[in-house]
Amino acid sequence: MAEPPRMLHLGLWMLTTGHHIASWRHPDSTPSAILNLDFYREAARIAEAGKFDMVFFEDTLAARERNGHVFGEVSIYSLDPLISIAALALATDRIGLASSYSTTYHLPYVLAEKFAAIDHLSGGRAAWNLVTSGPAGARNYGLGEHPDRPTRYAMAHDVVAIVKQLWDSWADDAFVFDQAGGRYYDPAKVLPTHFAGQWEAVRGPLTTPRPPQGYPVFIQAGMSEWGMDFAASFAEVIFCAARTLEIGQSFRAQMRAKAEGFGRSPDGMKLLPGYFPVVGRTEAEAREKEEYFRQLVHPEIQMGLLSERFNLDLSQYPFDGPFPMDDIMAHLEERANIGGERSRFLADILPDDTIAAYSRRMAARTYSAHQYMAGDPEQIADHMGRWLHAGGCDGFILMPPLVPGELKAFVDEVIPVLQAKGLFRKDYSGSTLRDHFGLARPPRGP
Amino acid sequence: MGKPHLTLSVALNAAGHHPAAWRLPQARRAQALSGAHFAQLAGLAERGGLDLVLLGYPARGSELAPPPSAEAVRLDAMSLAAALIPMTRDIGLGAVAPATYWEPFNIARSFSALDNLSRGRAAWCVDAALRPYDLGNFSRLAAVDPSRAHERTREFMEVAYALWDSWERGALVFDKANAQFTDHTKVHRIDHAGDWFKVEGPLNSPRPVQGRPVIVQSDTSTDGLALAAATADVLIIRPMTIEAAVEAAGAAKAKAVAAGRELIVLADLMPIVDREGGSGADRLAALDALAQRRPECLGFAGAPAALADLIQAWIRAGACDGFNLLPAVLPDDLAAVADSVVPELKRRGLVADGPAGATLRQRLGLAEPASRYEAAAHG
Repeated sequence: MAEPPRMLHLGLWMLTTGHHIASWRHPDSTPSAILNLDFYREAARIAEAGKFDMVFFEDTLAARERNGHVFGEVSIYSLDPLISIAALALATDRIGLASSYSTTYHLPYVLAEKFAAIDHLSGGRAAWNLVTSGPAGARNYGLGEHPDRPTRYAMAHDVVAIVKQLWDSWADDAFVFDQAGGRYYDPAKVLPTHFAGQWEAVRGPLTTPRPPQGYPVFIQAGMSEWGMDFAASFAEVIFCAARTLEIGQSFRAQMRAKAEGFGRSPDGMKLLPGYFPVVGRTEAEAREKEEYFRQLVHPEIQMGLLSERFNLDLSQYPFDGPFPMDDIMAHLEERANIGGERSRFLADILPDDTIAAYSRRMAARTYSAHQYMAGDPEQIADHMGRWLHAGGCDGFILMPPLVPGELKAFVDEVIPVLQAKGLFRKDYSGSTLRDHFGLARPPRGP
Repeated sequence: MGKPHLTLSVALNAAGHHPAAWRLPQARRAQALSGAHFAQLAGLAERGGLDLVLLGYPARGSELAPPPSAEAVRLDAMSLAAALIPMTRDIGLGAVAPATYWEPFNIARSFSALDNLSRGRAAWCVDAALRPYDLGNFSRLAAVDPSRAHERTREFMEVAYALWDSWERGALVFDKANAQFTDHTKVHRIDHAGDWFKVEGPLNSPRPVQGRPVIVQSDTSTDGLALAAATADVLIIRPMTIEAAVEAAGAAKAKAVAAGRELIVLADLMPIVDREGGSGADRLAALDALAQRRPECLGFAGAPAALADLIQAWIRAGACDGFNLLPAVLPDDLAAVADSVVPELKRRGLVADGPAGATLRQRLGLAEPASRYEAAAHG
């Protein structure tokens, strides 16, 4: 029997009003709606109607600041992502519910307890993107020195081990509900964890039975050398920023090799680069949309965003002057959330670029290190298919510029083309997120 | 302000609060882990006109209960409260959450999300107990000196309150024309550095709709009462007699008044009500035959009208401002309260018969706290 054709996996990355930094200024945006569950429910249901694998919420541990105060000009805050996905558990039926949560500033017992609850409440649709946190979080968690990166990854290794043990502390058949015998659970099948590592000691067991998926799906996004090894050791979905097909192919090949090195099947790991499409019914319409998004970015804010991106106040340099590469390189150490991959920032800078030219080019795509494309549905779908078939990815984490509008445009116009080309599922075939990704349910560990 | 009517909350769990409730033929294994089950119960409470559901109450820490106990299986209360938001419209959603091993920043942030997404229906049921077993799961608790635990809780709550205040009302302006999403003059660092916590702030999540969620506590020790007087909106007590309740409620309220605050006092009550299948007394006897123990709180077995009498008598005597119900069997005894007891209380003018307030604070007659920074910056 022939192998079934490989298909794309799609996640929706929810980020307030959309991934375009000025999306909230769009006439179709109602920015106050980001405080309402209806907004998130609508987006999740649109993605579910489009048969997406999952909807994903990112995490922050501190308010974003610039010049000593909260960054007031753009959409900056984030609701607790775990509360957000829990609130969608009963309001959606099939779509996976993914959230980042920090291994640096949350306790393993709490992480295990909360993701187990959401996996149960959603009938096996939870996923956890493990993030080690940048220094901003230390300000709010009073732990003194923010741990350095090797320490953070070592802590994260411990956290993964503990959380797995806690989920495994109940055998799948431990919750016996023996009404006649008066045994709610079988004590022989619920075991303490007794983990004692360098950073954490956890006795267990959990007071929640093993999650429906065994473990919620593990996501990881680090692109540093540490991050890649860490992700390859356990992650099942990998987020990354791959601007070109070559980067995607190379990264995916490396990750698959590393996964095999850990004794894992490389097919048990799905690589999803970020993808920021501007969809028009025609290419011309897509270009018009692109230009419209570009002019939504306020000029003063543009400079602030650039300065924030490079961790350097660019307003002190002439706007029409050359890019201050030497000074920028000196400031690119330890970039939270982006994984410290300086090449990805620098790849956007062309020879002979001025700050002004760079700034204008970036305004449409909002300074993102992710793939950007404006096109008609056919072009977008072909692009996605090309990446899949060339081994550049296993799918994408979609970053619609405006939500719900541009998400709906993608689902209405691009999804049917992808389906017609055999690149994407026409319907869900299972009920859990592991089913959607074709990932095996992990057996209980030793 | 003061609420003219009595307050009713209900603690929800899988099968009911009698330890043997899960062994009744109607009980189902799936109830413990099913969002639909809790949504059905919350819907029942909401239609019945109750003010608040509590998830994870009573708190019991991370120790696994023994095999005969249904308390061995639980779902994280905050996640469950979040899941109930879209399944309910106007009832309050209270979640037990720790003021011990977690960070105040996390608590403030999670409850900001719960309160915003529910449009002002969130309550934090503060669990400040230090339990020996929890030390094995949260090693940082080892650093807490039990004799100073209440001071630490006080500081924990103070940090959470300051973080909720760190965003003033109106900080989110959404001004498209001037490209101003946030008015940064209304967002403040808290720069807290105390004996136990060091938190700069501001919170990375906007001000709760209610200013801060309704704060529920249930520690009636001397230190617990002092904490409640200083920080709580609602105190749950466990008196076994009306006389004990009059004394406990009076003492708690006096402390709060001395602190310039108001405190709603609720008494825990496990009702088991006459049903078609049997009288409350018979149903209770059948359950008692299956389990050696009952919750250590006031019980009631009898007809709905008699339960209304009890509630009325306690309210009239000043024994409490209302009750936190722990239905012996769910959904049965909650359904009986919703269908029979509350309508009777309405007839007697003890429960409001009309639209409730938009937020839980309004519903309970509690004022919305102003941000401390609002007064400092503009007043």
